Amino acid sequence: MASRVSRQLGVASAAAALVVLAACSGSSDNKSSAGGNTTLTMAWANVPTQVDPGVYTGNTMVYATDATLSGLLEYDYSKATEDTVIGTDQVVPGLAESFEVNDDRTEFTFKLRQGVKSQYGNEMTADDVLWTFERFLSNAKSIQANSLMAPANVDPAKAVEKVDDYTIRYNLTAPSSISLSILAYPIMGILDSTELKKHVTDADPYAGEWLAKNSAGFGPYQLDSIVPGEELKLSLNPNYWDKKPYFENILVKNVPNGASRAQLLMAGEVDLISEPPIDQLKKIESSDKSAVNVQPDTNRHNFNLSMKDPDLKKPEVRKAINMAIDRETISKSVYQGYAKPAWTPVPSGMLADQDPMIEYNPDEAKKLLADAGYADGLDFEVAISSERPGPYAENIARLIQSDLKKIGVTVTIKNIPSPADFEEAVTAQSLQSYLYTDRPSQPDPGFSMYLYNASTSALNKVGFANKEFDALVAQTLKLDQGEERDAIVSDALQMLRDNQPIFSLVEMPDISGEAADLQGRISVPSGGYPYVNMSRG
Amino acid sequence: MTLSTTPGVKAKTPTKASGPIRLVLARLGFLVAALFGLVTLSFLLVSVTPGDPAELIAGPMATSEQVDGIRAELGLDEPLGTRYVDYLKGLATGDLGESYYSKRPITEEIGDKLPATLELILLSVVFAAVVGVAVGAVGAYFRGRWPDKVSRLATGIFQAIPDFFLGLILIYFVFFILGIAPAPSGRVGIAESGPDKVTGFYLIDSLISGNMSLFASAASHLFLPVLTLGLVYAAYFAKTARSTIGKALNSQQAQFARAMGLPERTVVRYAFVESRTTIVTYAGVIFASLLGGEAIVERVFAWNGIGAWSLQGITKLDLPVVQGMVLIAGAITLIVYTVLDIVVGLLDPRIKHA
Repeated sequence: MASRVSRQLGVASAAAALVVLAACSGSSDNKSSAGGNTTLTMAWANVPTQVDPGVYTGNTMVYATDATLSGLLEYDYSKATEDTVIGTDQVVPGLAESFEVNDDRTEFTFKLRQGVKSQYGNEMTADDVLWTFERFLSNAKSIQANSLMAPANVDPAKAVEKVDDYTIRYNLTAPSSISLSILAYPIMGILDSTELKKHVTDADPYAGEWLAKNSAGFGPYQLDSIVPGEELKLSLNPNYWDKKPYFENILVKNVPNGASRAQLLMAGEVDLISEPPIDQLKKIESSDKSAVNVQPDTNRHNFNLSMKDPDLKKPEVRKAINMAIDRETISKSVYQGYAKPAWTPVPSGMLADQDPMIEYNPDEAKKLLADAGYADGLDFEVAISSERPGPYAENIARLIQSDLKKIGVTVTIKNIPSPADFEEAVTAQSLQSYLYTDRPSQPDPGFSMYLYNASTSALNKVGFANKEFDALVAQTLKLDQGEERDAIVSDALQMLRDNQPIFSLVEMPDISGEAADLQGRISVPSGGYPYVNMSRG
Repeated sequence: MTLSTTPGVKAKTPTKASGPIRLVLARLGFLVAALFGLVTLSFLLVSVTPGDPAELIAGPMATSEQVDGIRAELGLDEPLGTRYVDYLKGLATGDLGESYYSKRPITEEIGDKLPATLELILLSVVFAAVVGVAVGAVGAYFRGRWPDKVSRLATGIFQAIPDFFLGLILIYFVFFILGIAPAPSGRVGIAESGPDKVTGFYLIDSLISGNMSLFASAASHLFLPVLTLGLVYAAYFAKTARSTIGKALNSQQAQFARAMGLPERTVVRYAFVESRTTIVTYAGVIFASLLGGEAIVERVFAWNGIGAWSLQGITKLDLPVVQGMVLIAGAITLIVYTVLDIVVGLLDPRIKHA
């Protein structure tokens, strides 16, 4: 019996010792933002589980590969402003040092930069470009083939052709305003085929298994290690072709809880956090160790009303409802002033000087509703998901409910707990109305209107179907930038004002929490971080 | 005088395993049947769940043809029977499929994440049991007096606070304000990487690799999450211990022991012994409920364990992940309960007749 008591005491002592040891060594972490530290330490809400750019496993895969890949063209970071996103025409030479284009703008001849080497010391040639594009097209469902090259009219039969070792031709089936900007999209970066061919097998002809955990690009960084979903470590590519970036190492840790990320930042443990919770932004700003960086973006949070509902599909009803929503209050209360009210048909950072979609006027809204035959009001349901637009979805819905009550419209809020069920219902267009988000991958008005409003687009979730509008946006997709295209875009925008397919509530900027001394993070069209532009001040 | 056996009645010779062996065999037999039931249940639960993972995987840009393609690729268009047979075949070869999103084999993901969770909950249960039983025993011994009142108040408070909320409070005060606990950055520091994997338990693996600073870091990063879960579950232990030890202290045996003049510490020890089966059973039940039940605490501490992994799998309708989690958590629970049955049966032979 005595020995049992001793054992119990032993267990207790061991546990106590662990606690004491833990407490004693509590502050063993290195503070990341010490002056002169050239390691960029970031806490992301999600760390990618793999880094093969050909396998889309979420946006963070795109952000990670942005560090290891260079494209034929790159975004022109110097064009970023406080109000506008980098446009589709604002690209600069990357791995291609120059290009020429034929008269009908369907053939681009790129002169490749010579002497560019990967981390393995292999020089980039036209063969690398051809192999990379072959890899993109080997999977018709890949983001590159399906979502980038197809809408940019890239010819799938001969996307790129070799002219000589340092010259390639990029072929389109029709002109496109986004054909060049997609080449700057991070996952369109060129791969080192010499290295990758060492890792191919019969079952894996494009070395996907190896590339999931390794890097083989010509970008500024090389991947040192990946713990899937947990951690990424990168260091400078010693052979990088352009100016050496400030940060020599990048460390990315997975910290899924927003409040924990905010505390890590305010304690000086990390240099940057992704997706800082809105309710923590003021705190982050008030800390002397951290700051909030707000950059323009094309992300909008919307209120979608079904166009299949017999009442809600009527343009007068839609205008009345849209007119009654007080976006200023939503912006100030729910988003604490960080998001701007959305008034324009496409994001204002993408296209300046647009006429508004609607103006806030609850009195006029009530009159309009009565004229449409709804003097006694109407009832409908709004579905919400805390995943999209976010945990504050119910607060937005409550404000809308209160606004619409003033014009006699009764809104019932329905919370759908499972994001999977919510997305399924949205895709099936079975909801009367719901809160949602959109963010086009290419900041182009024609592309954006096609994506969310054309009846042929899978992303048109509200069911807007108008043949005239479809024809207009189809034309914009086959025209390069220019006056002719601008005129068509203008007509299509007017059709959106007339029909009110999507009610955008706010323009959500690209927000990150950053160490007070971090500089250079601007918004890039792909989302993520412009690593080569960032430094410590 | 000699005793003779009753005529016509022969002494019985045992034909089956008896006593402890019989108990172990019976429980193991039940375990095998239950595991098969679990496999079937995990398949059915996930297969009949509403929602279409193909839609989610395809993402917002996909056409209906692409969604159909993904459905076919995942085998979701096959009849339920065919999918079940494929599932059993896969299981037999240790293949639980691969995650729809991470594209990694489920067995590999479980192998990475299960040790993190086990390390956390094992220590938490030990901490909770030690602290909880001590607090409960104090309450029982001083029933109605101030130590009892204090212990009941503490028990009530920690029972009422959700574990993840306590975690957030502890992070704020112990890490952010006081700076005596490390950042909630997972199992080791922001700038550190885990030890080379041998067992997957960082405390053990860092000792094996001889890296004492990493051991200290791993221990310090366990401090807050263990404290969080430990305090909440210590309250449950305390409540149980107070009532069982209290009952034992007031039992006829304890009164007899006191009447015989045995020292008080011996009486208390007897009370502990009498209540040990209840406490051991409780420890097993709490361990099983924590497996996956501490998902939000894992999320708060960036603990890359099986709980946070399965939570993400559920929200994304990543069927192989959910199936893998149901299977592994169910199997471990069944094994723990079986071991518990055996241990409790051995500690208290009366139990087996129940």
